[in-house]
Amino acid sequence: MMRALLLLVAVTRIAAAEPDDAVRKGTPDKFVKAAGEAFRAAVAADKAGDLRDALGLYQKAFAISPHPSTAYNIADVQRRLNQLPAALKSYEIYLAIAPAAADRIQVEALIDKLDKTPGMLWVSTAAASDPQAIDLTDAFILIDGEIKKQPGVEIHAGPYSYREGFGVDIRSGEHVVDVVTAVSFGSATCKLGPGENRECSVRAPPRTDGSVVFNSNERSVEVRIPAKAKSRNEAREVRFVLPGGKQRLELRDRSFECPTIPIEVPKGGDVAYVYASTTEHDRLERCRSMKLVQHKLHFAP
Amino acid sequence: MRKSASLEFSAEALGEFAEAMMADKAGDLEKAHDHYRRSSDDVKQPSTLYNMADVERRMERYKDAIETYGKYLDAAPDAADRADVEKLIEALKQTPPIVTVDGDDARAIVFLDGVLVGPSPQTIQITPGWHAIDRIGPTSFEHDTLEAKPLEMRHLQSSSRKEEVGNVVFTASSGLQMSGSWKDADRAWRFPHRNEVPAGRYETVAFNEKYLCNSIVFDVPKGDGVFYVYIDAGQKPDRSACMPFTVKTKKLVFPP
Repeated sequence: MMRALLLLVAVTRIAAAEPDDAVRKGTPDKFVKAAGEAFRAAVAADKAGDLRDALGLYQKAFAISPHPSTAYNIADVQRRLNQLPAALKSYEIYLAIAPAAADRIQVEALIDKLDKTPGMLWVSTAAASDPQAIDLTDAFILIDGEIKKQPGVEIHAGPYSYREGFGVDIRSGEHVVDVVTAVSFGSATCKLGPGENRECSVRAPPRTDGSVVFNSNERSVEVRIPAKAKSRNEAREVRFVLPGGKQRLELRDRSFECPTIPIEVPKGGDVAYVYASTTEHDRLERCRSMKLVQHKLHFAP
Repeated sequence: MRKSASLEFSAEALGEFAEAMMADKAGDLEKAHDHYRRSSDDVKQPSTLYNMADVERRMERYKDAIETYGKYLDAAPDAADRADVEKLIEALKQTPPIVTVDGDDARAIVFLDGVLVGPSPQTIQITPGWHAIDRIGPTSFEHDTLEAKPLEMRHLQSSSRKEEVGNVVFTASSGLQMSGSWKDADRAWRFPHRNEVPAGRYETVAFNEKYLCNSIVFDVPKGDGVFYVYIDAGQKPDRSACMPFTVKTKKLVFPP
């Protein structure tokens, strides 16, 4: 608290913030009277430990008359309230209106650190009464094409009010969660912010045959299912049958043809899993650059 | 290349600007552009216009980028980087045309002006002017000619529903913009098309003498496979006189 008080008069200098320490800036010189009053009230509430009131008052001051110090203090309170996505935005506002701030490097480092705060994605499925519930114990769980759980690895009772499932620490953002068993395939796209915990429930039809599973992070990236090529059957998030051995998958990105993907289709009950992701935007007049991940998913007979 | 906001922005516009910066840094250019646009809904701030133009440039939306850089200069007539931005606009105006060639036949190969480019699909930066593009698969053939201008992006797509077989692909440069068929003493030719002919030497007059100055002569080798016959009569169509030409031939190899 004393440190915050000292910094109230030292306007620009910011130390690298400890997770729960307040690091406030002083009253801006050019505030209009009303914004100044709200700002001072916010500082008082902040010092009294009433962070929610402080946040509301800082936001009021900022709406009346934006100022870098107010943006910074909003971010600082949001950080201490563990509202990390909102804090990140407020720090960005601070940098946007104070590009030459003396503490720019420290704030950028703080943004990077907060942005990388992992969240926890809890992969679960429907209640057993639902025919589309998946046997998660005997399933592969893949997130964004990476295997996170093998069959046989136990699942656990869920935290909070989550159903039983499997937790994965992961960076913020939107994630494609695929669940593959010997006889089924389900997928869901789930989003979480920095430091957030989210349940991601995946359901699947009880039976889907096929030796190949294809998925992508982009809805418009689809695989042509060769047996049905004449009928132009293209799909994302799909499991289908291909003869064992060397094969080529034909991908489409919107109306654009993509280079074919050579794959080895396993014989027996195993599955070739292919995940295509792109970070390019969807207005490019061509098939976008794809990162391809392939796995052979082995299921005990 | 991003510019900062200023205290002239409203609180709401600053929020959108910050979202745009975050999306931009994360590589989500579409989202960044949306937020920049929203942040400038009320007042066209020069820094927002500049950042929008920068995103459009990186999205390869060059025509939009040129227009938005122009709006930036209008909004900030005394900008310190005016000369740099004007130079950038001029450079963008010279962006070569780009053509994407693809289709349904996954084993097809692509030729530009009679030269093999590679397996389909291909995205090719071409010089402004006339060009001929052939896309040939084991059972398909598509021939296109186009006049490309700077900044253009074209998508040439062929469909497997148009199946073509025949061991000789008979095609030409963009200078010879003709299609149809003609007959010699013992053979009918279709052009541009795939023709089924036995091995041997062939000499034929395309359509009639007023189009090409000489008869076309080429050899079809023995054995299986597809043979590419390209009549190079220049790139720019010219019907004022008969056209001189050369013939290039190539045996085609399709990807497995």
